[in-house]
Amino acid sequence: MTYFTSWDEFAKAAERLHSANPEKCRFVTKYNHTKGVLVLKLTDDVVCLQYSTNQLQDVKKLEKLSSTLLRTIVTQ
Amino acid sequence: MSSVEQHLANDQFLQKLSAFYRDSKIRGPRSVYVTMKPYDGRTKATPKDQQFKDGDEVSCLFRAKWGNKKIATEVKAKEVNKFHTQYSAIIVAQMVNLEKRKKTEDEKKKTGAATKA
Repeated sequence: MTYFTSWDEFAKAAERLHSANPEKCRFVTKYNHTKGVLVLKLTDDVVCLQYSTNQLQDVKKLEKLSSTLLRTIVTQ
Repeated sequence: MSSVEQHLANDQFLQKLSAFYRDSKIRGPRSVYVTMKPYDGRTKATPKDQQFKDGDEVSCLFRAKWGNKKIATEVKAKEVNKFHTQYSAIIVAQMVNLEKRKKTEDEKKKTGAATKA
């Protein structure tokens, strides 16, 4: 599966996939400090959404997205 | 993931996660993985297609992996806000080797056009 190129598309797709089946979804972040790369992945083992970035501003967006996902997980 | 990890307390997990990020900058494996997924407290595999039991309180399982070191913690529904605040503070403090925002070509054109107009 290829990487998304825009955050907004990734976030929209991620929230849609997550709300469709929150029980099966897992959300993974991978941070490599030396390379300065942050990779995000959300999958339900059928569809896999990935986003890779080297932009500092995306950390803020990750904060927001993870908060949304976390809240959806515990309120299902 | 191999064996079932002993779950740490939330605070302890965050401390260790912070240490993972810190240490990965200077030694050992370079990448730190963090996973979040829903968790209903069971420790055995579920039969295929079975849903989470109704009425079970669903919490969130946080796992982190750095090289062969693995830690995990269970975040209860009522701890979510507190946990996320602390977690955010850690990622903001640790994920620093990323590039500051640069104007994209489109925006440059826009601002260029705006100054011309």
